[in-house]
Amino acid sequence: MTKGLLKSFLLHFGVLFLFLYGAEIFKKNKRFEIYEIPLDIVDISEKTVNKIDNIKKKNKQKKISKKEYFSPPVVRSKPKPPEFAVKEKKKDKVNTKEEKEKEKEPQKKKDKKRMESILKSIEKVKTANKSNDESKKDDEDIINEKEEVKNVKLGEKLTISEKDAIRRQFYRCWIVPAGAKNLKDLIVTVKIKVNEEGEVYSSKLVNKSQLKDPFYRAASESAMRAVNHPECKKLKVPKKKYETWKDIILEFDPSQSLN
Amino acid sequence: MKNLIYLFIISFVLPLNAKSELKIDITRGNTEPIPVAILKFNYKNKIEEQVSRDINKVVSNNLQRSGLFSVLPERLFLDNYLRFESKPSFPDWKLTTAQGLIHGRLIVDKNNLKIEFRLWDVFSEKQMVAQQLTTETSNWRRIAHVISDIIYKRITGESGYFDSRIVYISESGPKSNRKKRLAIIDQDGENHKFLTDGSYMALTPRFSPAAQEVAYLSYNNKIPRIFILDLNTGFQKILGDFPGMTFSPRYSPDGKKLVMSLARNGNTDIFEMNLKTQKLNRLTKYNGIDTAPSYSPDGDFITFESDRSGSQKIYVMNLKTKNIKRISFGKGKYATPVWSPRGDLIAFTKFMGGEFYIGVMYTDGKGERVVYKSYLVEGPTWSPNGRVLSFYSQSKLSKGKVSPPKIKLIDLTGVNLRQLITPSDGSDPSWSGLLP
Repeated sequence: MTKGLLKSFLLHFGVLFLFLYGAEIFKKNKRFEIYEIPLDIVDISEKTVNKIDNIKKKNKQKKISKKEYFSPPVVRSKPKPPEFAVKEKKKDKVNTKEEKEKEKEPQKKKDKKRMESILKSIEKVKTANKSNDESKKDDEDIINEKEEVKNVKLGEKLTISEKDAIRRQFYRCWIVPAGAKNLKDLIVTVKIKVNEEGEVYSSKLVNKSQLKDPFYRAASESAMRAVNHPECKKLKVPKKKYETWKDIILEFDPSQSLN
Repeated sequence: MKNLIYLFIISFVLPLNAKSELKIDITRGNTEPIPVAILKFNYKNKIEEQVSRDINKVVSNNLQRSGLFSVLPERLFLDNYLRFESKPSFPDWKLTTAQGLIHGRLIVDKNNLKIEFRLWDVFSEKQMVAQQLTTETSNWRRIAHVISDIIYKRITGESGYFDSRIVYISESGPKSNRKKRLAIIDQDGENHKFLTDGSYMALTPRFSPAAQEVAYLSYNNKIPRIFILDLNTGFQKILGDFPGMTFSPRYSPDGKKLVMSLARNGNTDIFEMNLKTQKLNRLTKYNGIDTAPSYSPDGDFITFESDRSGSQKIYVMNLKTKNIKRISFGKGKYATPVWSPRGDLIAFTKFMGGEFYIGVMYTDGKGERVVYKSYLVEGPTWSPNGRVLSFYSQSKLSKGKVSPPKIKLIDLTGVNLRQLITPSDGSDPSWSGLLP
C-alpha cells in the first residue's frame, strides 16, 4: 500500500515537474542554433589572419591618435597679469588705507560677524557637498530604488512609452519589403527570448508552414535580419520589469509601409 | 477515475505555467536599400581575373540600379579575399553593415566558363544560395544578369528582371522628317541594336511574353499594318491587312493571341486575333472609342480605355462573361492601362491639370498612386517581375519648347528613377519577359 502510494506520488510529482518547467531543461544550451553548411571548412591562412589583425591594430592606432587629437591642450606657461592694473590697485590701497581704516572700524565688527556667518555657511555647504559627493552614488541608488519601487508598484506591464522604445529600435533595424506583392499577407511573427541584460539570445519564427511561399520566406528573412541586427541585439528595456519582457512576440507588418 | 485525477492535475498546473508574453507590432521600418557586399570571384590567371572583374561590375550595377540594394564599396571590406570553400568571418562582415555577402570562383577553360557562387545572410549567419553555372565565355554578361536575378529572387522573394531586354522606337531627325526605327537594348543599356532600317515608320512595338517575337505597327506606303518580327531569325511577317486604322496590338500571356483596337467608320472597338487561324473576334461594341487593351496575366480579363462614360476612363472586361466594369473614378483622363505581370496592379497614364502622370492602381481601381509626373509621359510597360515601370517622357523647356523623348525606368515605389541611355531619342518602350 505504502509502496504504491510512494510510486503514485513520485509519478505525479514528475508530471507536475514537467508541466512546471517543461522538457526544455533536458536540452543542452539552446542559445545557439547550428546550421549545417554543405562546405568543407578550410582554416584561414596565417596571411589572412595577419591581415585582419594588422587592419584591426591600425584601426586601434587610428582611434588612439584620434583621442590624442581631441585631448585638451597641456598648459606649459601661465600668462603674466598686466602690470599697470596691479600698480593702480596698490596705489589706491596705499592712499585710502588710513582714511578707510578709521571709517571702517565700526563696520569691521559687522563685517567680522558677517564673515563668520558666511564662513560658517560655507563650511556648512562644504560639509554638505562632501557628504553629497560621498553619498551621491548612494542617493542615486536610493532614487533608482525608489523609482523601481514606484515602477513595480505601478504594475508589471510595460508603459506605452516603454513599448514604443522597443518598437522604435526595430524601426531602425528592419528593412521593409516595400513594393512586394500582397503585403497584407506578409505579416511575420517572431518569438524572441531576452536575458536580464536586454540581450536577445533566441529568436524563432512562428509561422514556419508559410515558408514555402517565396514572398513570405523573403519577408520572414527580412524580419529575422532585423532581430539579428547588431543595433537590435540589445533592447532598451526597464530592468526591473524583466518578467514582463523576457519573452516577446514581435509582429512585423509591412502592409503600412507604403502609406 | 484516472481521467479525473489527470484533469485535476492539469487544472492545477496550467495556471501556474501560463505565461503572458509581451506582444509588439512593428508596422514601420526603414525603406533604405539592403546593404550587400560583393567580392570578386576567385580566379587563377589574367583571363579569369578580367572575367571576374567584368561580372562583379555587372552584378553590382544591376543590384545597385534596382534601388533595393546598396552595394558597399570595397574599401569598407576588412578582407578582399575569401576562399570559396570557407565560411565568412561574420563578425567582421557585420562591422561593414553588409546584410548580404556574395562571393564565388570561376574557371575559364578554352571557350567554357564555369561559375560557382554563394550568397550569405550575414546577420543570420546562414547560407542562402549556392549555385554553379556554366556557359560559353562570350556569354559572361548574360551569366552576370542571371546571377543578379538569382540573388534578387532569393532576397526579395520575386523573380528578377535583369536578364531581359527592351524594344523601343528610336527617333532621330527634324520634326518634319522624323525617322522612327525599331530598336532593342538590354535593360541595363548595353547591346543596342536597330531592328528596322528607318525606310518606313515603326510604332507601338510589343514583346511577346512567350517567344522572342515583337509585334509592331508599321506605316509602309501609308498603310497601317501589324508586323511580327522574329528576333532569332530576323524574319518578318504581315499579320493581314485590316480595313481602317489599327492600334496598339498586345500579346496574350501564352503568346497565341493578339488583342488590338480597330477603327471602322469612326467607331473604334477591341478585337482579339488568333495568331494561328488569323480569325478576328470582336470583344467590345460601343459607339465611341474603346482602345489600348491589355491582358491580365491569367488571360481571363482585359483592361482597356474607353470614353463610354463621357470621358476617358479605365475598364476591365471578363473575357468569359463579357461583363465590363469601370475601375477608374478619379479626376482627369485615364489612358493606356497595362496589367502587371504579377497580376496585382494596373499601370496607366493620366492627364489632369495640364500635366501627365504615370500611376498604378489595384485591379479593382482601389489604391491609386502616382509614381511619376511630367509635362508629357506616356506608354508605361512593366518589367518581367512587375516591380519596375518603363515609359517615355518629355519635359517643357523655355520659350514653349519641349525636350526630345527619353525612356525612363522607375521602381514601383516611385523612388528610384533612372534614364535608359540610348544612342538617340527613344519612345514607346516594351519590356520583354526573362530571356529563355
